[in-house]
Amino acid sequence: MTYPETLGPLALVSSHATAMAYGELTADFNPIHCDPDFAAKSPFGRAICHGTMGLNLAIEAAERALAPAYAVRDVKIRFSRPAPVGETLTAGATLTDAATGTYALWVELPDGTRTTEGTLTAEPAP
Amino acid sequence: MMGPALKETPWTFADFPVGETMAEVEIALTPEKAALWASISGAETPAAGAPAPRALMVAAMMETYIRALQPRPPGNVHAGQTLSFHGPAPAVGATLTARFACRAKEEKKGRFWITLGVEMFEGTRPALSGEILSIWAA
Repeated sequence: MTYPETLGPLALVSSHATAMAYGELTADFNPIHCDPDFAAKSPFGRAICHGTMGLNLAIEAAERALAPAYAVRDVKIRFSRPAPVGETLTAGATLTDAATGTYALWVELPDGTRTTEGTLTAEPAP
Repeated sequence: MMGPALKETPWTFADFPVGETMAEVEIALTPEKAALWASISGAETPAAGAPAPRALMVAAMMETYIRALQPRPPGNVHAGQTLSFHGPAPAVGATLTARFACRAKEEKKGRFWITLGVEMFEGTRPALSGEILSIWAA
């Protein structure tokens, strides 16, 4: 068996409702995500998506594409740019080293701006 | 179990003790949480007892991170993350224990960078580990 060349993509249309739902899931109601008035006065100028919501979209995409033969083992990312609430997030990963099962992981906006970038390493399913 | 790290006033950069374990928090990967993640991501909801999506484990890690250190100043920024998943995924319905330790902190250009290590266990079995890199707001 060989690792898939691409994992995903998987898209999510973010909104105040998804920010509040993800806040409920993680107990993270940081006003930078969930309070548009507070966020408007922050350096970002508007509410931004929870970073791990996009990251989890990439992990979800990877898990769906890798199962059942493989599984996600390691992830290392930077939340490089904010993703404004209201934007569509698209997440996935591209194989960069078939020998080690290493992928370039990304989350991007419709204009191609990458908001999360890093690596994901897969392994045979435990 | 150690429990969360609770203070009367919000945790500040100066409060973080580098090298020390700060908190332990339990969390259940409930079917309700699995359904909520499925509703956000468009995934199918796994049945109770089925392997939990790894995204649900990450969401659980974030909830324990929020609960572990309270209160916190508004406006903290999550800047980076490392994750390692260990062994088979815990089942939906399983309870995990998350342990947090301050691994590093550094002030750079007026920003307060904090690295927290997290280890999650199902019983004594490691399930997830990693580091949360944050820019602390105060």
